[in-house]
Amino acid sequence: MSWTLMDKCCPKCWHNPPSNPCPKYIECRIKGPLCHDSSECRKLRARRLNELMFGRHGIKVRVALASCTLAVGAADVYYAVQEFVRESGLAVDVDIVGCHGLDFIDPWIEVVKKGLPPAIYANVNPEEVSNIVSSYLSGDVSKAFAIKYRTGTAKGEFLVPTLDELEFWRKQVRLVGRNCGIINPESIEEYVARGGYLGLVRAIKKSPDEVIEEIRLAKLRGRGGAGFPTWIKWKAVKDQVSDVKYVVANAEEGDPSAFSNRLLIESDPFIVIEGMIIAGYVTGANKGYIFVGAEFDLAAERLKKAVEEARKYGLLGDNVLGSGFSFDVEVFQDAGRYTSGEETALLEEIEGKRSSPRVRPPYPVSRGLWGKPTVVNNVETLAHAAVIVREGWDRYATIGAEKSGGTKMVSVSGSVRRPGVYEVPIGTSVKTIIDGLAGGPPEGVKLKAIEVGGPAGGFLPASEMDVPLDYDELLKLGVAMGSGILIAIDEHKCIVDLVRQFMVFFVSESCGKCVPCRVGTREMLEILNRICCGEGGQEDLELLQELGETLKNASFCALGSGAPIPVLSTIRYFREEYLTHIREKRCPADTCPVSREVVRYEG
Amino acid sequence: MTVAGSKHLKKEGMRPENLVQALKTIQQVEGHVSPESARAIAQQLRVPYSEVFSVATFYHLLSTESLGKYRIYVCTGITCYIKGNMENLKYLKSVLGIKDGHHTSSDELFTVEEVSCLSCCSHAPVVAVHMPDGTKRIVGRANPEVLQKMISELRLLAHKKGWVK
Ligand SMILES: Cc1cc2nc3c(=O)[nH]c(=O)nc-3n(C[C@H](O)[C@H](O)[C@H](O)COP(=O)(O)O)c2cc1C
Ligand code: SF4
Ligand code: SF4
Ligand code: SF4
Ligand code: FES
Ligand code: FES
Repeated sequence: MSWTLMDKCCPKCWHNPPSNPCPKYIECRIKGPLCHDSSECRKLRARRLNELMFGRHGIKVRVALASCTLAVGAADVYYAVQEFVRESGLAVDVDIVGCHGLDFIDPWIEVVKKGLPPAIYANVNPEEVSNIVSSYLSGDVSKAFAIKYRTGTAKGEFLVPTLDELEFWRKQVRLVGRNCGIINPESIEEYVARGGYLGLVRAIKKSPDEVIEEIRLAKLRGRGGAGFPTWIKWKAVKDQVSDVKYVVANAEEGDPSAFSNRLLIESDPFIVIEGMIIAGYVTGANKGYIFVGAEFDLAAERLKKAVEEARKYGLLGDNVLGSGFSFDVEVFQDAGRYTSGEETALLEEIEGKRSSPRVRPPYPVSRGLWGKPTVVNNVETLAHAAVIVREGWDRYATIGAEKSGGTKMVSVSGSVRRPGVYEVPIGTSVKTIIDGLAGGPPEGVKLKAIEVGGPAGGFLPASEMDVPLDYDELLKLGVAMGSGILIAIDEHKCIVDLVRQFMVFFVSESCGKCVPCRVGTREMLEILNRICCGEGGQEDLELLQELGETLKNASFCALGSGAPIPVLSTIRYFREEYLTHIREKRCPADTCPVSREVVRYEG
Repeated sequence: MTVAGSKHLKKEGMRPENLVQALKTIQQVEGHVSPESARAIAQQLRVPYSEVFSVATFYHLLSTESLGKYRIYVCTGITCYIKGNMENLKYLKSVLGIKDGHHTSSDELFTVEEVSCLSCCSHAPVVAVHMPDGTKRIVGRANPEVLQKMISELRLLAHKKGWVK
């Protein structure tokens, strides 16, 4: 293989981890050489950076390969590009990228040639590939979906918007997602070329307390659902006296309709690992686990590769960048269970047991994995930490809401024109995300509700869409931010039926450890089935509310206490729909058995 | 347990803490966790058999019964639900001749199950196929036409590989 940015530039480079690592190794990749002066070594870097951008021969085709693009045929597009290159005999590099989160453009490719504007092509068919690439290379970009910047040299260039001119791109604030869809997720080199690992470099120059203070001032709160201040967790683990501590990154992403964690890892696994190393340095942990969801094979594969590369260049292992601090990471994949995402259940599973939540206290910060102090953070939280340390807390804290800094990657799906993942400041209104970014409902369709936060989040009526996406503001309306999910529900869907489907989920995922949840979710489902079949009575609504309160208060973990939220929030905002089922024996959306000749749900 | 199974198992380590990992390995290599394999794992990892069984029946991707060569997971997460995946589920079960309350086709080629979300919700409705070699295929924007094509391809592959009796 040819020289990469991660390699020594010449024999004068003495970086030799772990015995003799150079503390300036990362900065030296782009700005170097830093310990000696050589125009050759400088040129080597410049040439390689140029190659990463435009390929070895000045032309590069990037194919977006992530679960989502693969689900709609990106593999065939990739083969078609390779085939085109082989057949045409052109000197073109073919590379992969992760995804931008603009899922409505899947499958997509990007073509770049020196001197022409880099162009993104949307919804590409394998059959079109040769036409697209040939016409681009002939200097015509008119068929592109967007270009990255203008050069004034291509035909049709001014008819095509730049990414920044597109509202759904411009209105995002991409901090943790800044590399997604831009870098090759299997090349640490491209991550470093875009400033990756500078956060770690800054962190180890400071004391752990100084880093914790930065995280505090940045107002970072956990993105896994509960919104717990990250600095408190880190400090608690740091203050524990123990020779063994752990950092666990939670990439279970078990909430149905959440896909932003998967997108982040598949597109930029490096930033999660960088965040973990920083967390390890701050808390005094030497070992990390990344707990990956059962279906996330591609994410796990890319993480493993990123871990291997980090080891190879001395960013993991002993004496990281000469700091004396050692850290290593292992990837663990779930065997499939929703409770596995709960922070103590997840530890049980790593220990080889059923993923049922543990009694708390003690909390993981004092007795976690194998009984040792453990930080459990969501992967996006860790990525934010890396951004904060790299860029400084002050800018970060100005983005977002008063009590909660920064951005959130939001998974938007359902009845919208542009489903995808959008990164926005915390506190951005739901309306801005649904209408401005995701394009609102398709022509002729009206939205009735927004499901916010996933199964334990709740339903908001469309009239409340001005609410800011913020932990505290949403709670005031009886819904929760959860893992940043927005599902647009149009008027042709039955709210009661959707709530029933959520309850089916809870019944099947309840781990059975405590009675309120195990029995309560079944009873609530029974009642919902009854209502949907036209056998519900007026008293059923009160019964649901009573049961809901019991579950909220008496459940052992947040699965049970969250399970009634969809029910309670819809009885609050969509009472009429329940009543129509009960009194008029009619489903307003015409989907429930009561309105059709279907007998009963299997249950 | 098969020879291949026990060989793979050794690689995972032999302590009680490796139980989940060990079960995943056997599931992958042997297609399910049979009572004999569960007993072998119990012995080798020094874990009570009841514990092995309780863990093996807890996780969705582990099965104590034998499954089809292809395992098709139909997402019934809310986004897929509103985009019509229940119809796809019904369609799949009917073309594969799988009766209500059952999951595997009589030729033991296909198992159809529900899954709560495949995290490709923007391309709902979504279906995943777990292939016999352990790889996974995700199919977005699924409808009967797409699924029919998918089934034909999988059948063809099974014939080529001699998986059909
Ligand atoms: C049933 C249940 C499932 C959960 N699933 C996840 C999950 O998939 N991912 C996640 O990050 N947190 C999940 N959580 C929250 C975690 O317990 C924990 O709060 C979180 O990982 C902490 O990270 P943070 O502080 O960075 O948010 C779940 C909680 C419960 C009760
Ligand atoms: S400063 Fe750069 S060239 Fe010098 S030892 Fe460090 S990494 Fe090598
Ligand atoms: S009857 Fe129809 S509209 Fe009413 S709750 Fe049931 S599914 Fe929804
Ligand atoms: S609330 Fe439900 S999921 Fe949580 S411990 Fe109890 S039974 Fe298990
Ligand atoms: S394009 Fe990546 S999540 Fe869809
Ligand atoms: S709801 Fe089906 S893939 Fe997420």
